[in-house]
Amino acid sequence: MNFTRTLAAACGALTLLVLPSCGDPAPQSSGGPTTVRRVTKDQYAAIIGDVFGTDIKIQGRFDPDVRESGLLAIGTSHVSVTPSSLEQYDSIARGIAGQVVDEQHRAQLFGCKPAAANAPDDACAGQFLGEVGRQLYRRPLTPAELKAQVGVANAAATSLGSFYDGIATSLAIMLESPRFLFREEIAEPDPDHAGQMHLTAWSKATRLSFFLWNTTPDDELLAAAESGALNTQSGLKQQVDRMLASPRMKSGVRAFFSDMLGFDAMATLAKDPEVYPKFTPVLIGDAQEQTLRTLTDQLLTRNGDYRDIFTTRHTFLTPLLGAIYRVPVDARTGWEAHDFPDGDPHAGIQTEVSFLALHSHPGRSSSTLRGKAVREILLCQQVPTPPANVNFAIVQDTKNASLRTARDRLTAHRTQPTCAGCHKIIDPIGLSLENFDGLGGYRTQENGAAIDASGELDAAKFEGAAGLGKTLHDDPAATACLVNRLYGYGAGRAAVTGEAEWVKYLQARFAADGYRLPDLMRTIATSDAFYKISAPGKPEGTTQAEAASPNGGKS
Amino acid sequence: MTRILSLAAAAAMIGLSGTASAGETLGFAVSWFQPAYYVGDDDCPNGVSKERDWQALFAAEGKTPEQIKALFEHPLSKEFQAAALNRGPHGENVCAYPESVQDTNWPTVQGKVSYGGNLDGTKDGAATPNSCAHQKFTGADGAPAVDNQLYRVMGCSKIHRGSKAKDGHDAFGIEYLNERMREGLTTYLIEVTGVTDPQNSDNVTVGIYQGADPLVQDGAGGVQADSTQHIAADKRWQATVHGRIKDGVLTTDPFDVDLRNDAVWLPEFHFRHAKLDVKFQPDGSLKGHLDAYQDWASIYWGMAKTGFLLEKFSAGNCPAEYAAFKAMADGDPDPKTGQCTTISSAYGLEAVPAFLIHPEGKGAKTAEAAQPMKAAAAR
Repeated sequence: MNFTRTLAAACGALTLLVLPSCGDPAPQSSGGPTTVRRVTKDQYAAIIGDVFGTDIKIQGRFDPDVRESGLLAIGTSHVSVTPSSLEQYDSIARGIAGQVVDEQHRAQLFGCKPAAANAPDDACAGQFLGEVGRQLYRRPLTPAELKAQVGVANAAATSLGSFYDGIATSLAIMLESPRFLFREEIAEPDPDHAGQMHLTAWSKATRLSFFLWNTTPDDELLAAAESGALNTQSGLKQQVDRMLASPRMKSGVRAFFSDMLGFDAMATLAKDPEVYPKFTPVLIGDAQEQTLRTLTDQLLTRNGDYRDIFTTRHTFLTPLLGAIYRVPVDARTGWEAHDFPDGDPHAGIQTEVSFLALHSHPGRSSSTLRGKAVREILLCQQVPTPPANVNFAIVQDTKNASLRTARDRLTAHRTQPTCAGCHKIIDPIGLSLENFDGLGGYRTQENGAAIDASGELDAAKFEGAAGLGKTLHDDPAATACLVNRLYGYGAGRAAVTGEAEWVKYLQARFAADGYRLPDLMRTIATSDAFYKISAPGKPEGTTQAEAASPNGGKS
Repeated sequence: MTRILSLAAAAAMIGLSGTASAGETLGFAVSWFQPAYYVGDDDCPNGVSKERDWQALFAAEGKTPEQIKALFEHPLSKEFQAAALNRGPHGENVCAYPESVQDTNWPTVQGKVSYGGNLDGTKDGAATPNSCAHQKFTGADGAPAVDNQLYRVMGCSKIHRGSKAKDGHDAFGIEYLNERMREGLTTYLIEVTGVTDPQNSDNVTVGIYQGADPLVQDGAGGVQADSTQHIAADKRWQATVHGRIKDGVLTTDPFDVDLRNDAVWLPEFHFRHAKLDVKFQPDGSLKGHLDAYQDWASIYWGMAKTGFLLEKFSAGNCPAEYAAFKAMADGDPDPKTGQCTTISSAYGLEAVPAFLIHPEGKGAKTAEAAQPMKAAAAR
């Protein structure tokens, strides 16, 4: 990957943009509050894999996360641990700890051997628990914490007659600790800016690592935090460059887009097998993976323009997906690259099964759900929820002989005044995707009637999915949305009012850098603003960009 | 993957066979394949086959009541099995040596109606140089002079006779192989080259191939349409034949083909003088039947090797079934003995659109999955 682009060259592209020039200094940001974020299921697995190895099995149930401001990453700042989930965490922790100390793993994971396997060894216990604790807590254990953990290990080893069982007991406690399960951010006075606060180096390392890699900081990043290098611009830049060049970036980018695109809903996606017999859990897993591969290929491997995700014809397929797209896939297992030819209706992630199937009903497509998804997910615009007494009889009657297509039915539905306001801003988008059924299969007719796939997005009128893709490609709201989402994902909260200028600056930089995602992530990750913490008690609010509705709030 | 578009594929086929005209190449994966046994009211006036009356049989063999009682105390024992099967005059196993005893007590179909086609070309089933004299059926669709002697032999077998409501499809003996196929045991592929019009194409080439990939089941329990299937490389499991499409019905000239099958029951199909007769469906699939002679001995030995299982649990009778096959066989008479070596049969066949990839590597040919004509549009 070549993520190195000179700012001077990139700024040449800014001549037509009515945005702050990237040559201008970054505007001041108020910073925002610190967050306390619950580690997600995927993050938990990534951390355990990093610390103990990917062969450690994680068996148990995690509480679902909550989506706020379009992201689970923000919702994790507002969740706790219920009594039932604590039981699950306990069970999971004991399972992991047992595996870590078993004979298969102990030689690999322990840097020391106890003097006797059937008795406590505080020195070896302290060494192991100290090393592991630093990775799990994302900071060194305080002397008191380490002493307590060694004490637990000692007592348990004595009671159980096993050094390793003692370690397992102590490790399980650590894995159930809020210090592990929650990413608590700590602020401190910023010595370079009197009167301002920023994250401590340890909190900075954590925010950075989860932002770029979606996992706990590695040794090198923790060392940079410990030495203070992370609090210098050069030290921070060095770490960010190293992390951006790492293969782990792919995991980080996949995690971000899984969140932004709402792929958590894939786990409960259901289709009527009589209507869509090709739908299987394996297929929908492949569909999710297809989009993530498309995105990481375009944005990381090719370091391509973000806007092209709405128009790209290059993707990756499995045999199961090939059956949906009706193209042969030579690979008998696994994946193969595929380029849809010019003129093919498939272009952009909005024509992939993951988007089309996720935003449809179990037995039919939905122009409304798809239009709403485009507004809310891809453009960060809020669509009001429908009134409680909506009569859906017309739109659900797919066998109505006089209303054979979705357009016919929605047109009739919109004659109801309470529905018209919202439908007029979402249906014309979704209707451009009507050439794809509720699973994503291409079609030209519905109930024997030709499908009219013309669409509208605000002032733009276009034809079909490709037209929608081109419109999204050229819509500044799409790139602004990405910036907002990415910043919120990293910060764990929506940008506050005092960060509005900073976010606008990010959008300008994104444009100047040719809409390259790694460059945007570098800009965020190396900025002071990303780690700046607002003074306690300062009034806050979400930015206008986050709260924007598509027609000025007149829906 | 290198793909040659359908037109090029058709052109290549012209060069190979000299029969097909330019047109599309359509691929299919067989999704349903089992003996087509008609179920009518008057098929089996003597009833269906029953499990042997072991008690009477043992008594007839001269066993004492005490001996019989001892045997029945362990009806799955080696001793019971030996007593049941080794009933030849010199203790031969009658499944392994079916001609060691004379037993013609096997119920055969007496009905007049059957699925299938006219394989021998005669109107009355009279012997020809290529066939033995036999009775004809009337087709279930009213077609005259239908040959299906396999049905005549097996149609009154308890495990081969299903319910009338389900047209016999629920009979274990005939659905077994089909189910194994659909579960992924074996795959059969059909490629039709030179299709200028799916309703009427005078000159097409039909390929029947062993597939190399298991079938893919869809969420509704069927075989998934539009999957990609690789054709097995071994030429032993391939055949190409001239055909035509008339009014949406694809038929072929006679062809021979061997296809791999279930190792437990019938390891190989040996289809001889086969004809395909399938109709294009609105959803792009095919539905119809394959009519063919099969060497009856392989069918018999496929069943007989299960021995005691056949007779005890499947209401079979090795020597009687063997005798029935031999008597009813109607194809390919042995030049020396005149005994027919094959038996006419019909298999219900359905196939869903599939992409086919030939095994030649670079330059391999891909058959386009047939585009559904109505069903997809209605979804």
